[in-house]
Amino acid sequence: MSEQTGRILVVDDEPGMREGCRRILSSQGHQVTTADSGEEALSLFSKDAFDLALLDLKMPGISGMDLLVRLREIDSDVVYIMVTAYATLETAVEATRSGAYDYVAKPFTPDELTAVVDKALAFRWLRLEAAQAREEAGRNLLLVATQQSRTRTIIQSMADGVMVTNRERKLVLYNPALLRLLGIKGQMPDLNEIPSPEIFPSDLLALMDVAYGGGETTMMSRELQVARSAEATAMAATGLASGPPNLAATIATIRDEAGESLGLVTVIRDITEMKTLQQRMSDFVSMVAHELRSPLGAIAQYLDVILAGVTAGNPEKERQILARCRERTGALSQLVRDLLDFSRLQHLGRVERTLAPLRLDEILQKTIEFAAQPAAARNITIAFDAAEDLPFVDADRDEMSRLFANLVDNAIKYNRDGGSVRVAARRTDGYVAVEVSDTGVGIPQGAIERLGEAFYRVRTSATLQITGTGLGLSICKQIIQAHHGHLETESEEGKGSTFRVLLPYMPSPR
Amino acid sequence: MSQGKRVLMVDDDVDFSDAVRMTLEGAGHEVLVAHSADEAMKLVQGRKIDIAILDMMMEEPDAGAMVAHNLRKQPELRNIPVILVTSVTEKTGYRVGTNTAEAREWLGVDAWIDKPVEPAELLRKIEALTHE
Repeated sequence: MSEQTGRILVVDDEPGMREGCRRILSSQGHQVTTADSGEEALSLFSKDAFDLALLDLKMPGISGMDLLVRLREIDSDVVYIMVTAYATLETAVEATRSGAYDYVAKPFTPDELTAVVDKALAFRWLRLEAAQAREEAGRNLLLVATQQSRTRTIIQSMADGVMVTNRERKLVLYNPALLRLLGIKGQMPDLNEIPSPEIFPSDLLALMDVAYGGGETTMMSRELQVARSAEATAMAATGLASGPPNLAATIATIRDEAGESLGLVTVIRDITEMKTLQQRMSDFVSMVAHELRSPLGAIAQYLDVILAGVTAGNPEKERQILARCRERTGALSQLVRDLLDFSRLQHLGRVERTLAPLRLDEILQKTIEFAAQPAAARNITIAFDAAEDLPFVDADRDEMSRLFANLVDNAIKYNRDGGSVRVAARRTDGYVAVEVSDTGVGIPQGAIERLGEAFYRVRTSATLQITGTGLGLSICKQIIQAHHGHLETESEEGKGSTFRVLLPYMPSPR
Repeated sequence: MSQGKRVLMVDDDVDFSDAVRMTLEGAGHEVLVAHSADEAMKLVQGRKIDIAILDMMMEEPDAGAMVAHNLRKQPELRNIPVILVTSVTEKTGYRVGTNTAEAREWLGVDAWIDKPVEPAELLRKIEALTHE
């Protein structure tokens, strides 16, 4: 008894045989189609799928043997059974040779037919399963091969160094980045050997030892001290190369499903950049702390003078002291503002700028209006001269205001009483040039290139009284850079300075 | 109060040095103010000084220590007491260590004080250091 039912085609020119077969096989649950000729069978085969075909050997038109050949051309996986009235060994052999699975001799009992059909169908199901299994296996193998090669490619091209060691501490895998980071040249580490202390840094091997003995610990990270090679030391001494990279190792224990350790995967990462950033950050914090402490120290010291009664009975002296304190608090506020701007500008990629076509003469006009009062307080005159044909620049309005306000404020701050400031804007080759010139203290030659360094302030007897944060020009430089411009500085000590901002202008809208 | 002393005050912050000057003058001392190491060395040329108050961090992070060292090289100033004024945060950038006794001896610093300076304490220190 077959468990599965099949789709069966019965081809016979005798209606009695067709009907008989149909009845017997249908009663077994099979789905039976009949054809009275080879031609009809061919046409049915081209439309429908079958599991089994019973072919009468002797038919008018296309003979059973020819039909077998032609049907197998259409579908060789169908199981074919030949039906013959003249069963001889020869016909059986010939049919089998031509691809039939079996034959049945007329006349046959229903049981005989069912037995042959069941056996043939069982074969059909087996064949289908085998084909399916083959296909799946092929797919899986391809997948495995692709994944292996993909994983290998990924590990080979990683910037981080990777090495895998097994339970016996032997090297199973490593990538080129590992050799580069650890500075391993010449002698390559041997796979299937315990990493040699002659090749690998002792620091790393010691860390791996800890991980191997680590019990439950699954992951540990440590910075590595890598002794540099003699060659690297020589390079560093000549200044041609920096010191060895700062490395960090992360070691993770690989475990199977039962939690047993299978080995270690060690990842080596270059953290030089991170360390440099940390250092820069710490320097910056020190500088900020110093810049905050100086004015606070001065203010506190002045207040102590008043509190200690040193100035008692001298209100004019006290007023002078308080005025200085007030000025220093103003400078502190400015420092906080500058720090916020400075930190905002440090993240150039993330700053939201609203670029729009701007006429710089409008911005300069406003800047000068704002500066008029502090300038007048020290008898400083401001002249403004803007060319008629000033082209547009694509810029952020707020940043442009900040930039020129800083420059004009400096021109007043570092000027002499009764001096002058000149602001001029004109078109040059590809740029709008804005010059802010003063008649002030000027900048010593050696100091010009250091201008714009965060917290750098020119310290001369002439600048001692002037409060500043040392961030203003640094902010200017960053704004100019963000707008693809340049800053040029000319100065003569004691005579004055000229700051020239060059910003690329937009193509004429006309 | 003993008689007024001549104090060298070196600090690049004009307000801080001005405030210290007022405090010391109020106590009867004479104060010579300089705002840089160079200015300080010029100011003391051929002058007698009783005590020096030096800001550690000026044009260089350890400028005060250098002034102390250079003052000691002048025969007439070899023995003057020196007070070094520091900010706690200025520990970076010193070319000389300041934590060891050897370093302090090399510098010849007699007292260290932090900004801001309590006026009464500063006066007491000056008194104590110039009394010998």
